[in-house]
Amino acid sequence: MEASRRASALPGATPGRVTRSLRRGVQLVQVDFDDFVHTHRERAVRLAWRLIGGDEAAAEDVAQDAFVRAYQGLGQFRGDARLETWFHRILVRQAHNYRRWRALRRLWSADKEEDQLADPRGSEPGDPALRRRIAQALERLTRPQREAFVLVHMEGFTVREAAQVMGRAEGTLKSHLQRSLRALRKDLQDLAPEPEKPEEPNHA
Amino acid sequence: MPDTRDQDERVLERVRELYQPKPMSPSQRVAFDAALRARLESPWTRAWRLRVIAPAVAGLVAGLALWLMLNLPGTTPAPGFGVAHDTPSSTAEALTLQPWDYAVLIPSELEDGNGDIDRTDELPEEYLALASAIFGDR
Repeated sequence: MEASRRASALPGATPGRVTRSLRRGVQLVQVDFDDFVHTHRERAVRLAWRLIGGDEAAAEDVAQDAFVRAYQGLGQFRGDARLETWFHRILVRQAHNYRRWRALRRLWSADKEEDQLADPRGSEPGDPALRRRIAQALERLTRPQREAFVLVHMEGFTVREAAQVMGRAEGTLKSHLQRSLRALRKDLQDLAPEPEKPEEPNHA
Repeated sequence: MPDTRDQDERVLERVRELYQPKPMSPSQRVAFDAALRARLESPWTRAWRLRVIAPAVAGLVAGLALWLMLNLPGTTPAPGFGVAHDTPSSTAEALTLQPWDYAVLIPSELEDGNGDIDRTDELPEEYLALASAIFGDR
């Protein structure tokens, strides 16, 4: 399967729009990359934001990197998964790469202040301190636990989709989900206190 | 004992509620699209350039590293490289020699215990006479 590198010259391609064609079996499928970006942009930024610990600007960068890489790699897309799944796999890997670079930069600058985890601007809804606590709790999880948790419990992927995105077996993914949930329950228990039971009517 | 499933649900609900970015504004979307389009159309993001430049840079770096390894002074292995030496400990011992150690190391100065010099290792008298005849007294 080969993507044409000169897709904009193909018949059916709208002038001024970024398009690519994919060969699926005998069919040539036109992919309107602009449409693809418009459909997945918001979710991509949100997913990146959650994976890298709540930094808005970095999340946009990671999402753009993922779109660029997806565009460049469309020729390698084999069509054995959905295009969205394939793109999210790239995005998750980009987020991981960003985290590694960030860790390296921190090590390099010997700047170990923990408050870099969350966006200091506090432009997102909710309490910044609570958001930071959640980011730190997610940071303590292992990479597969964090990715599984964010994909399934926060972004609403099914276990099968998340397993495809992460390139792992469904059983393994379920195990990561259980462990991540157990760890977060322990860390963030006080965020969700038990609802108070209605008081017994006093008959005295 | 509290039901862990209920507890998990409550924690999940709170995490979802608290840990989310603000939705992108229309201007942010426009800026995102413009930046992305610029990157996609940039010649530096075209795959063929990356395919050429990345191996070229990697090759240059590898070549430079090899050249440095072969040409920098002190980077070639010295003779006997890899053989264990005990020089540091010998030096340390030499530096801590006691006066009586010298007597052991220089046999001509060994004494027989009565204050006399032990001359058993010296040459016999006739050899000394011959030596003085040939080489003269020194």
